[in-house]
Amino acid sequence: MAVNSTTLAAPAALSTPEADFMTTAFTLRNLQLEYREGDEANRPLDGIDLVIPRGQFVCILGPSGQGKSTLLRCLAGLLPPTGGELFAGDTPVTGPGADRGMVFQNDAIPMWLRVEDNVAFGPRAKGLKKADYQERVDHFLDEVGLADRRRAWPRQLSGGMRKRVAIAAVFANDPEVLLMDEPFGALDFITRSKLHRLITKLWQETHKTICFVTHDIDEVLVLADRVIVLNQGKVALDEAVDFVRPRGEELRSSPQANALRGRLLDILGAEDTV
Amino acid sequence: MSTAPATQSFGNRIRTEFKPRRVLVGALVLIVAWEIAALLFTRGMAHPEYVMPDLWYVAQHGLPGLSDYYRGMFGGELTSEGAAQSFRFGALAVVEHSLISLMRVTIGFLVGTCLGIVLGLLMSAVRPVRLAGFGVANMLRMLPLLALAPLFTLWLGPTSVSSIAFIAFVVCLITIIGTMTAVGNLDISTSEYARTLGAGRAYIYRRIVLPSILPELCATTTLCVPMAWSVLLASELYGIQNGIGWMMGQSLAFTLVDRITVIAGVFIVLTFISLRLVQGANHQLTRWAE
Repeated sequence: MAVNSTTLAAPAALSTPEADFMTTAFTLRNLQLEYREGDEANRPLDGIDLVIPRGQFVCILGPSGQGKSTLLRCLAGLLPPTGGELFAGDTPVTGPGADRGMVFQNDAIPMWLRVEDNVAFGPRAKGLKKADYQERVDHFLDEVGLADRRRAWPRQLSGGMRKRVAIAAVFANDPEVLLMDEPFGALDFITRSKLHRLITKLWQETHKTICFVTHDIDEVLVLADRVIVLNQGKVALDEAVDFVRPRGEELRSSPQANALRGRLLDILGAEDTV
Repeated sequence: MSTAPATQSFGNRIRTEFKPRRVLVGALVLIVAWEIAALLFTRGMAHPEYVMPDLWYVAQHGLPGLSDYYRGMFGGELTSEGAAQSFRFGALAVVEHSLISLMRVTIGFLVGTCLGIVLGLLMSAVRPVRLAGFGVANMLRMLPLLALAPLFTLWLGPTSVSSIAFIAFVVCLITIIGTMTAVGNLDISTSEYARTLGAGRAYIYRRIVLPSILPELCATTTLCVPMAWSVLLASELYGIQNGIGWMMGQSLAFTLVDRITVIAGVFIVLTFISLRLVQGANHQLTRWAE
């Protein structure tokens, strides 16, 4: 299997002195997850070493069943790894926390809360007073273009709008990191393109770290400044995506994008992963 | 011309909502069926009114006969004091005893529902409580619950307290199982989403679990309403000296089928009204899902 590390000196960074945690969102050392099904041992994560600096937009790419969502759930603290080490900043990850907000693949937002109550969910859960979070809630409702639908129930919104509610809710909670698990997978092309522009804008404004799971290469080209390809629970490729922003339609057909697309397709097609 | 696809009939939803028009149709069918049955089964009998009187007889004698059960809540002379049976005092008897029964059902239903939800959530959240409680709840569910009516009268006396306690017990039991089933059917991703926003366990139970099980709980409460009235009837048949169940017991003792028929009609009306009230409350609580 081709394991290519290119512009990112990940192995060296793994022996990072403690001070470097200040600039590191996640440190993964030989991260493993194993479970048994009868006599057979399954390893969705099989020794992952990564350092994700703060502020980076990382796309985790791979076909279905290669450990992408599992890795994201470990980062979120929803799934405890069975081996290795996992740090969020300088703190070992032992469970979920408000410092790592997650946007799920399906509609996970509470459908019984109106849009504005959904966006205010995190601050309220943390016990903040309304005066301390209302401005932030209003700001992100505005950012995602739902200020005029703030009193609507989620069921009254389209799939794309509900995703925008989830995104606003996570940003309004002011986490260190955003974890996004194929959030736009079920949406049409136009809605996805709009949401790509929205998430890029919010990322550039807030400088949050984003770990974005996808199986769509074009999504990587448009969003990422780093792509990690997972294959059978291992890192198959870890490469910088240093195209200039904003990345419009012309980028998708540019020679450099085509070159990266080709490399990614090679990696994804190098193993029989279907 | 548009034609429906051939497979559409397989996907048609069977509509089971309670609509006044359907109730009226149902009542009409029942009336016709009763009249036909009365005509067929009592032909040649000397006293058909003690077996299955026709509805004209019921209308003439059923309600006035209930005057005998009037206790004077709204004033006026009682039949035991020499007053004649009348439609007015029959109606007052119905209202008097219905109010008493309604009070018992309302309190029993509310206490049973609240207790059932709290215990159901507790059993879902705490493993030892679940292990201890769920087995007991399931075992008790296998019992013919209505047969427990004499026991409650024996334990708590022939009072409103025993009736309310019995209703609360049955409603609570059904609600515990309904709550636990609803929690078991929950989509875990909303709870996980809340955890990643920093919500703690208690907050998640209050703000995520409880609201999300409401639609399923509404089905349980709708089931509990007629059950509560049946339990009330059973409890008032044993020793308690008032309520429409008691009136039913008195009429049964003398096979006064005309009066029984009127009381059965009152039961249906009261159950229907309370069901509509509960459905209205359910609708308010689950507006977000409709």
